[in-house]
Amino acid sequence: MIELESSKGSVELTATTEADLVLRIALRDRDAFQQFYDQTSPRIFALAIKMLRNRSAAEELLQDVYLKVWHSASLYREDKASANTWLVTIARNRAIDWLRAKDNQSERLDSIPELANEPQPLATMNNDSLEACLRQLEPEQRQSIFAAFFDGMTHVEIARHFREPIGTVKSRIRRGLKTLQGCLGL
Amino acid sequence: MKYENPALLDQLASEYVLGTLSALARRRFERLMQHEPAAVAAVEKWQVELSDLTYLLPEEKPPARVWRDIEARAFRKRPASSRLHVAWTAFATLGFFGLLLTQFLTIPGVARPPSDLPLKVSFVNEADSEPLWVVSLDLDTGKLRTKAISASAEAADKAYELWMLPNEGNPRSLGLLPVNGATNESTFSPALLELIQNSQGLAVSIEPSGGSPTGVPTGPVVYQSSLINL
Repeated sequence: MIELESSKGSVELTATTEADLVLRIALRDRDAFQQFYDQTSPRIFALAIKMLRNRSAAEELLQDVYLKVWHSASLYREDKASANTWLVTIARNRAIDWLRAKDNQSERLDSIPELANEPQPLATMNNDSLEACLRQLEPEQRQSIFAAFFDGMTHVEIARHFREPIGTVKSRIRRGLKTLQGCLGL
Repeated sequence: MKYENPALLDQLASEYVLGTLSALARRRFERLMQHEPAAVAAVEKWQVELSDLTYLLPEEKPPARVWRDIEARAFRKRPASSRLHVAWTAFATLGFFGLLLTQFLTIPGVARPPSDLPLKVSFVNEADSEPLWVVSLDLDTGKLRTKAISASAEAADKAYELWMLPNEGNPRSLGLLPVNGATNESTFSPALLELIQNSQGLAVSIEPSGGSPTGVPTGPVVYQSSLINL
């Protein structure tokens, strides 16, 4: 097996980007794996708790996500997406599958996502534009997009929650995403 | 559904990524992605666009037991039959920089889609174990990517050149290696890919900036490796 032992806490190691860490995880570098986990798991755990609303299920999800990271890091394409995008996609896909498989949707319809009205200041410098773009959305558009992204709600669930026809919800989300897309210039 | 309509495809991709599709519609779209590259491209675009929303959430540190369980499960030995290993055995030409080349590549099992076959190789400096370069080769697209992790230029008028050592004939250049965090990318023909897979290995030499003027290594070969099927 490859030996990529690095002295823990070295300046070079802490300065490594998340994408570089994933490249090193693909080479079975355990230190890189632990550093990647330490750096990213608080973000992914917050997402898992928000989506699943169940701490122990969120812990299980976190395990599944990072095992997938360990075994599939060689599939990561740095030229296609950031390491955050790759990781969030793995986590959300798992969470959505868990939610769809579980017949417990009704209890999750009780509350609107807390973030819907007031996006928090973003944690990274690179996301000023995203925050500004979110503020361009109508509150209902933002609420619906957040209900889908953070709570994993389907069109049907969001429509039921807002007591609106499904077509209204669909076109509201579509318009919101279009605004977001135009604003972010993607 | 008329999936050939780009606007509709884009809309479905956004709904798939956002997660608003029912379980059934979700599975249907995943089946479509298996044979529709445009659907995959649209999904990837929306993933990039939406994933940073995650930064809105206040972070939450998971309990220590989660990492302990991950470690225990990740580093457990996997059954050998489930994976095909191809190892690059390293032979360092010591004495120039005292550098050691360590290479390793793992091709996961049969479940992997054929488009995801990057072979990865790392070049490691023995002294601090920080990879110098990571080289990945996608056998489907023929794309070779070389990324400098900690490699820096040897001298202003020198360059590192990567070579493939075929079973017969002279080494073939695979291009110059980047330095200072840069990434190079080039695409090779299927014929050359086949040569690489059946080659004796890779080598790195130091050449004048711009690469070897003769088409074969002219400077000192600082790394050499052989390819062995296990």
